[in-house]
Amino acid sequence: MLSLLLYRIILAYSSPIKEALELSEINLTNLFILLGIFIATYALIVWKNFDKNMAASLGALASLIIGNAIGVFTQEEFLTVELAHDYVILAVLFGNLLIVAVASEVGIFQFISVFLLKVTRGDPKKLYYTLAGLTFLLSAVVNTIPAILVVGALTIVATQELGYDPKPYILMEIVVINTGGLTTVISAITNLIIAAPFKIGFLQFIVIGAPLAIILLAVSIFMMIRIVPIPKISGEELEEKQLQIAGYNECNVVKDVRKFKLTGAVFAITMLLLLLSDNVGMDISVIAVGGGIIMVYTSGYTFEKILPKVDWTLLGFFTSLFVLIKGLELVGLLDLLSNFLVYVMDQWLNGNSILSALLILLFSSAFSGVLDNVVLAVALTPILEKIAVSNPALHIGGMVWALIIGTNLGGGLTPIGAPPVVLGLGILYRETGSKVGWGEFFKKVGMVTLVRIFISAIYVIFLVLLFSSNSLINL
Amino acid sequence: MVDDDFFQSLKNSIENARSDQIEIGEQKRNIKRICVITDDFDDYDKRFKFGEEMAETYGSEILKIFLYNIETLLKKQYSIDEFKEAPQELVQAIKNHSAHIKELKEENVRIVLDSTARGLLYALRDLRQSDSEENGLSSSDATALADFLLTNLDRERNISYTVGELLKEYKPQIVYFKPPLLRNRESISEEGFNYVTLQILKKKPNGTWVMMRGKKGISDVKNAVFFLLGGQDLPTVLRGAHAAVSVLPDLKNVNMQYVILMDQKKVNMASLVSETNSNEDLRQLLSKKMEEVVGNVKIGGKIPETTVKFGEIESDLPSILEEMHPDLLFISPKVTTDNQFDQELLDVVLVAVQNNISVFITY
Repeated sequence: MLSLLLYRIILAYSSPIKEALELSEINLTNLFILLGIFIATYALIVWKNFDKNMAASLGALASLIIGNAIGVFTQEEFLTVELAHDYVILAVLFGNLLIVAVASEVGIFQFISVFLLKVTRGDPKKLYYTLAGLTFLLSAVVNTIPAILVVGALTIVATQELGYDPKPYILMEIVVINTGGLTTVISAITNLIIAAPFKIGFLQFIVIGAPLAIILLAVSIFMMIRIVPIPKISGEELEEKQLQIAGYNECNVVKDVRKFKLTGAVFAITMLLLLLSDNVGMDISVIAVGGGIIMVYTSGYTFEKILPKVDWTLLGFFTSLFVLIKGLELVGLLDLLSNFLVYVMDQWLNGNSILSALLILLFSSAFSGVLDNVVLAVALTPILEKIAVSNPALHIGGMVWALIIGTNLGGGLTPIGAPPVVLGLGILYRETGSKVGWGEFFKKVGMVTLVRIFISAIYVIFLVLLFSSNSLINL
Repeated sequence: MVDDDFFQSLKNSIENARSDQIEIGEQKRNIKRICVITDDFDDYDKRFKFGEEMAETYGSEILKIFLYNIETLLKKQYSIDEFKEAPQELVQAIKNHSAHIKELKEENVRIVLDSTARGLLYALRDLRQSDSEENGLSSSDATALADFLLTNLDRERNISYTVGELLKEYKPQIVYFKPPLLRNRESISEEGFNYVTLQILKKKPNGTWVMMRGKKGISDVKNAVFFLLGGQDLPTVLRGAHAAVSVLPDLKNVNMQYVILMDQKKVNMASLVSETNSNEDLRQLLSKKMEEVVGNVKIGGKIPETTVKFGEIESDLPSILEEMHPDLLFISPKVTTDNQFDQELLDVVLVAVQNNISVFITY
């Protein structure tokens, strides 16, 4: 009864939804059940008093049991066939987390951090630029989450040592980390989720993502250093800061030089292979996991010692999200949404690829600001896949990149938009007691994010024009 | 949470990257500018000479500042009644001051006058220029003028402000003076630091070191003591060490030692609430901790000896200083914001100055 009533309301008020519903043969009762599970799960995820990982796990479990019971899918098919694609993403993520765990155990990140700290000689400006560079680099080669933890740790130690306020530095890092997230396919989890089904290779991703990331990096630093200024110090104060830094020795973080060098070399080779993955005929999941395994071997540690250091909760969270979204896909909700989007793009935007891509950019940026951007990527990617199949006239490449950019940058609109933002602000609060509220965050970081989204919109237009006239990207 | 563990382990690891031993030897400050401040309550020639010696030692440029408070200087020599009875005395006094100012100017000394006196002196100059024959004053004119000159018109405040601005503009690496400025130097024993002295300490640029000379000049130092209060950290120790290698010309032949004064009251309080540690245990624990802080800093190739004392600044510091007989005491107050002092260490500076010990404050 309820579903019928809702259906009638929808039909009465919205022609795009009516059109979409007519195109999709959907069992509305099943749809509302699984959608209800998803909404309840999401409500628990954002509720502060409930463990977000537990919420996602319970939601996934409910979806698996109920979806099977009401005949949306069979559990066997769901787990073996439907999720096959997501296992590859989880494998890359696992490999990445393994690499990070080993690299930090042998001291690679700490070595780089202390070395760079010494290079700055305690100068607040040099420290700012160095941290910006390190944030960008780490987020590009590892992932935004470990990157903010590594840079955050260095920032807290350095600013406490030198007597500077860490706030301008951490806020800058939050902005830069989203920018760095656009550089490679493994830089952000959202990139992995979006790029994998569209077969965007590692190098291919860099060719498109890195130029924008570099432009946005320059804009971000330029704006952030003016919005949240760093201290100015005299030559005499600088001398004393140099003294304080002089006491640090990067070699002290290395427990075993031989193993450090070997593991460092494997780390570098893994990064190189990832870069060349399109040409060497290896999947990035194999390179990431393989690199991680060899790094464990060269580090001299055992899996027993390393595996507990891997962030399993993160892997579990994503697995649960994939299950939830796959359930919604199989019940036909994503079909419905993609039909809705195609209708809007066809009828309202006259099939204009530029406007369609800009719509995706705005939509994903805006929603990434308030929803977890990973959830949004997981939800929107299959919709784009369906649009690509159902409406080949639209240039899907521009829309895919709009989604990648939007989910990366939109996370910087609010303090809860993206995991590295939440982590960065958490570090600042826990280590210094300095709290950044919604208002302050929007004024300082959100404004810069808006400017970056505007620049990205221009870039997206350029990409759509490029894709229209050139088959550079095979999408 | 793995995130938290990961962050904490990275942070600890970076923090522990500090070398076991820190060597401060080559990191000398380039002392480009020195500023000497004095007044007419002192042998200013001597003061400027000491400043010039320091400038010569470090190859620095020097700025000599003379604080000129006409009110206190006149009061030092005359009373208002004297001027009422003999108006020519005032004229003579002003003439003497004019001659003094002329002399200082010839020596390229920057004279800091308060604005009210400056205005009056300009007026007198104009008067003399308009009527060169006029060189006397009537009794009533002299009384009015004397009243004006001898009235406290916040002249010290004016002078302090001007000196502060001068220091900010000149940005010296070292400021040298003997406190209290604009007062008899002996008054320090009873009155402590006066307004002008405190204002100079407050207004000097960040990172400028302050030298207050006692018996020994920099070149004569044979026994240097780095004074620390319990709880002061490694950056404080490094600041003192940096100053020592930068300013002591013959570091190799200087005996250096750390003197750490722990607050006995705090130890007593802590032992009262501690169930496991006795007063003596706590003293040992604290001593060990502070010895660890200073024990790894090598200054000019050697690690100074450490002496830990327990007591209070006011009651115990004079005897500690007597026992250590330092020629120069390095003190590093906490760097504070909003122009405030580290009051505890300011008290230490005062005790040292009262005992005629040279003090080097490394902010």
